[in-house]
Amino acid sequence: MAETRHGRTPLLATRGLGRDFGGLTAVREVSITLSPGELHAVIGPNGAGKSTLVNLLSGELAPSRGEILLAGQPIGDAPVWQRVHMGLGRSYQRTNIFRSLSVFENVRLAAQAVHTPGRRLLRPATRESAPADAAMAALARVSLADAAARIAGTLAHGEQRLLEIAMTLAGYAKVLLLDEPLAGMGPEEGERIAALLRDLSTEHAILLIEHDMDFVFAVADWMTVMVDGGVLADGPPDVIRANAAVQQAYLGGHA
Amino acid sequence: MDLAGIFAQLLNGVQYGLLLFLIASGLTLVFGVMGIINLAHGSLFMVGAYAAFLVGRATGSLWIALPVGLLGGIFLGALLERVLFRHFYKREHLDQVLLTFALILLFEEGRSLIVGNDFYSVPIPAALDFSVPVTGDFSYAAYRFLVIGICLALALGLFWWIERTRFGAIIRAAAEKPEMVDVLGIDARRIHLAVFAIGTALALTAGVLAAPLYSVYPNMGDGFLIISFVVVVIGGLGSVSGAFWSALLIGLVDTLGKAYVPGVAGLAIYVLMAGVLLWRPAGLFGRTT
Amino acid sequence: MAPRMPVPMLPQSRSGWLALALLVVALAGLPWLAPIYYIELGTTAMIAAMLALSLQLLVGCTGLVSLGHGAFYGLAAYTVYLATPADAGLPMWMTLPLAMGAAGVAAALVGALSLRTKGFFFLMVTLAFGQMIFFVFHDTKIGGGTDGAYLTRPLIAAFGFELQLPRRQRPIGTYYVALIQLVAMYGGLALLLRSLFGRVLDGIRVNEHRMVALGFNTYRYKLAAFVLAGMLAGVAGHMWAMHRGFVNPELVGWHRSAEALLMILLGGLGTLHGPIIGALAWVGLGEAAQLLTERKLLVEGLVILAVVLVLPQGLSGLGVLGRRVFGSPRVPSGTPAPAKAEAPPHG
Repeated sequence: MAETRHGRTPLLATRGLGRDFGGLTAVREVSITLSPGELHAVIGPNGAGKSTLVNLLSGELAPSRGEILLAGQPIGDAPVWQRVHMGLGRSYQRTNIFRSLSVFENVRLAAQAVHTPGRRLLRPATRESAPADAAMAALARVSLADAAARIAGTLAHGEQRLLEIAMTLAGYAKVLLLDEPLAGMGPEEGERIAALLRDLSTEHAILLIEHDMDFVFAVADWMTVMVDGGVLADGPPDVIRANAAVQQAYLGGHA
Repeated sequence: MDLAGIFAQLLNGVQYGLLLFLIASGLTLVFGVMGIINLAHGSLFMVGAYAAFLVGRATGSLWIALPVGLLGGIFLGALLERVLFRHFYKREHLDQVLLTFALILLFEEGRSLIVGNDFYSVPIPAALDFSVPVTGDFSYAAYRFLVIGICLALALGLFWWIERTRFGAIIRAAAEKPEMVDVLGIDARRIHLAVFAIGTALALTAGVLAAPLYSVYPNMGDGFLIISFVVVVIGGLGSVSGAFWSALLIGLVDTLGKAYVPGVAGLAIYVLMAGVLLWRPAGLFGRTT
Repeated sequence: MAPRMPVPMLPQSRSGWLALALLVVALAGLPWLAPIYYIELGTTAMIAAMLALSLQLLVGCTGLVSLGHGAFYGLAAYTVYLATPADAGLPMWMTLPLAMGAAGVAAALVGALSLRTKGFFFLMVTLAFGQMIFFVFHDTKIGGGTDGAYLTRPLIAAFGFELQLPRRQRPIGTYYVALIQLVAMYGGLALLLRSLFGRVLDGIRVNEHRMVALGFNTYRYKLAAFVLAGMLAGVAGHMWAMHRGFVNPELVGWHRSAEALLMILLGGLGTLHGPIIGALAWVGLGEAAQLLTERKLLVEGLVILAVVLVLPQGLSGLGVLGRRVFGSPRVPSGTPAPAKAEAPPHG
């Protein structure tokens, strides 16, 4: 488990972040922080604005108001691809891999994105070892190294979710935004991912969106509960569990 | 200042723009609802124009050509949709481009076989071959007023159909979220058929109306096709109202340009398109997904 | 251990490369066997092949379907016309870079604007810009207007050394220049596809949305590919000027662009050599059609219709179709057709 937040400069912070779609406010004033080594879960009912929040952080949506700071730098205007180079990595709820390419190539591309200075672009891909090594290392981390030569679309669903995570690791992200990594997975696979995330959180800061409450309470160091686009509660798991408003709004029988 | 000349050019611009709207609306509807790129849309316009020519030559009267164009267009559109286009909704853009390009070649060859390759003028119906006095020293061709009138009527009819009827609501829903249509239990095939038939009918009718003004000649569809594409790009994909305003804009820019700055007028609409794309890559009324 | 990485679109086996080599040998041998008419036809076919090949960089490799590519080809030919004085031909080493440069600049301008759009929009915008270039040469007197103009062909010359041939043998010289350019273009593109840059293009074709999310500024890569493709189209256009010594607005018309797309589909979207086969087949078909009937366009239209309806994988799909019809236990070999690009997730 990570150390307490106090005394640590946040790696990722939002201040009054919000997003409207016409008349609909999907995200109100959201101010949260993510510290190094922290495993921070964002939970909430459907429609609470969690996906919108992740899209705001990754850059796929522009904020209507508020700021996003990565290591102290404002990134609200930065395009998606640039945020990756600043240390942000993101996985998708609906698997968004390169189905017709090999597992290895999926991750190698992720590595190439941040590893390759422009002048090496015309060199044969097979001769460049840096992206290849980073790719194999990332695959090993998620225990997919044996599947490297297989076509990504032939992997089982659970393995594809792991591939999603491997792609964020190969890019050397400091902050990982994981959008429902457990989507569509069974309980044993969930165990596997929990162990993986605990392992990863020693080196990365992780912001996690998830629905599986058992999972979240088992792995998270910090939790934010979102309802109706705003933050209902924000704190360590025990505090959240005991929070009456959260219980009423969301948790049901998890007291 | 030649006020009368300016009025005439303004009206010409509106008339040209409205014809463009008839063609472009079909194009944008078919793409918005079915995702089909139909390069042969210009050929449908040509078919309408030649239909007017042939009907006029055979019966001596152009009045019959209008309903022939409308009804024939519906029939032809339904036929094309059922026999060919239905199978291409899920195909790649490349396949659609080539299919419709082949259709252009076939339509042109068909035209060549039936009518030959000569340039033919189509006389304005005698009843309309006069000028309507508008002000003291300005009068404008009655036929052109009629064209404007019919196009506006069709445009209004189209808007009413899309905005006010249940069928139109389904069209709008289908354009925005194709999955919704199946969920609501509506037979998507009938919608596709109807949209394609109407789009075709509009293009053919535009051709019928245009024949006396532009005459008929080989490859006449090409020019109108490309400009309609520019209309759709500027107006925004799938947006019929966008197509309307953009068509008027282009009609005016092109006509006034050709009248007063002839050398570079042809470039003006492309420059306009480039400008719009720089400012709004999805078109003026387009949805940015 | 990192697995072997096959390069997309290139022959995957030694026999594949051998077949290509045999094709080159056959093309090189043609002038020894055939009369002048067919040598000139061969040059025309190779020019079409270069145009189709240049477009394949966009369509097959990157997933960008452009309908304005022919304009860069025609622009290059017109550039040769405009640069050449009335009475003397210029050496190739001057005209070729000039033609490529003009095509490249035009491609940079068109690409910078068009690549801000995608899909159908991109198709229409490239069509419109191509038409803009067509308008310049069709409606003004710059290039001789609608009739076109004759030009003095560039000389096969470089830095003082000139290949001088008697008149009757000039078509042979032109043929070999075209063949060398075609082979060089294929080789250069093959190396490009093998490189890191080529990998990015492939990734963009499969899932551009994810490429952006991985950290690639895909706009820049697409623009680079667009400009390069334009310059290669310029090589083809320059060769046309050398071959026919005549330019007219049809060269920049959008029908030329559509034909280039057709040649790609005909030969197969999934390989680099497909467009070459497609171009040779298309030119051959045009010749055959002309021998049989006056209605060449009708035959062409019907063939395109047939290919699109029956052979979605082009001529290379004939093998698959044949096996399906006649039955065969053998698994089809060669590079599989590329999967359709994956749509980005919603929400």
